[in-house]
Amino acid sequence: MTWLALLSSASIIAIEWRSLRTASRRERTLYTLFVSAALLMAVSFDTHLLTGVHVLAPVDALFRPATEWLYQVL
Amino acid sequence: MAKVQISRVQLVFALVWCVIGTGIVAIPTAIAQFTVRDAWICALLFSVGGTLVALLTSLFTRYFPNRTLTNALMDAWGPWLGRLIGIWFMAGLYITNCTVVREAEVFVGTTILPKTPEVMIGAFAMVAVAYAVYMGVEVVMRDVEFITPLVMLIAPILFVLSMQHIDIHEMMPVLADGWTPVLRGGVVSILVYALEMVIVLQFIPFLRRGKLAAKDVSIATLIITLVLTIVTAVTIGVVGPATHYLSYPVLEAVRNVRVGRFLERLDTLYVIAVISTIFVKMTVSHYAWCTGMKDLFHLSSHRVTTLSGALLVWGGANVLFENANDVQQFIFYTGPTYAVCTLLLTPLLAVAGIVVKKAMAVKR
Repeated sequence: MTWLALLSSASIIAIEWRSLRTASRRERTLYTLFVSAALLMAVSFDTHLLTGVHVLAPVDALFRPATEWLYQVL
Repeated sequence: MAKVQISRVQLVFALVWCVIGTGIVAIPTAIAQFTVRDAWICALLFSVGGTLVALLTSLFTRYFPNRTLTNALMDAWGPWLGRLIGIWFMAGLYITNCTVVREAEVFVGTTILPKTPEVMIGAFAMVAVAYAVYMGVEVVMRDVEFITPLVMLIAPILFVLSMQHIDIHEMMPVLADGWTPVLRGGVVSILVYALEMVIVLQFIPFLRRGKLAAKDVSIATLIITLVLTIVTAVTIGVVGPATHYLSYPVLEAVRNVRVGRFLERLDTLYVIAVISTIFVKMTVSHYAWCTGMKDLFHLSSHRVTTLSGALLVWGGANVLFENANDVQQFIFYTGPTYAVCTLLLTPLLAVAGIVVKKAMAVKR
């Protein structure tokens, strides 16, 4: 997945090179943030860094009890 | 450049495929966790959620006739608080996109490409999605127009042929266990899949007749309810109590179709139809996410986040959900209240904000 992510990132930069040169700082920041986050995810997937870690645990902790309560009420 | 406008037919079918894309795969399974015999009644309950979205759309378009939801939030709550609520909505949309991509990966991996790594399936799907979104809303809607007749040709044939194996006794007696399992079974379709139609609020400025958006949502709701009820009834009639244990019960129903000894394995056609509709769902959701990001961060075009966002969705789909069970658990046990707090409350907050703002302006 890392190699695929690297290849995709390189392709995206190549495709958007012209628009990136004229882009505002905010756009470039957002762009860098997304590509870096995707690369980080790919690396963590390949290295099993997040195996056993439930990334959506905060969302689950907030909403799962409420959903279970809803099922019980019904 | 002429302003792109979405016709009513395009909008209705975009909404229909957005829900049915993954709904046809997940809803019968979700319902079967609670009831099998009365599953078709649960499918009918989809109309409750759809009506809720239609009312919400009507309310939203009355106050914001030509604004996207993200724009409306910033108009109502100001640039900082509005952006914060918008980011909450965008995070919800991102997680929804990841869920759809992961579901697509698992479905294709299980049904037709068992030896291909799921990551690769997702990557290739996202390339197509990113290209369609990059080209703009017109291409996304043309996709919808292109796919609609193909699916409408395949689906009725498959379900009419499946009907020969229906055993009506699998659905009897009606409501033997009361309403409790039926209402529990309807939660996912009402609160998760029906509320996904709120995505229409991101397309309001592109609609040819924005004032009729609520009516279009109602038409889409009617079509989806009808399709889901027929599909669920046929599946229960053919597969029976085994539906409770299957990940893809509709696929099993279609797999049973045989005409003589020469026409079989028609499930391939079903898989093609599902993949086409999931593709529509992925493009529409990703386009909505990109326009939302454009509004919130004042970007020059939705294209700024199209490619990098597609990469992020692909990464997220594989990291957030380790396997098919993770996705299913999230949709069944976290999704309902999360969807209410994200998809239902955010537009309501936008409307409430503008009402308060107007009332305060009148007082002054």
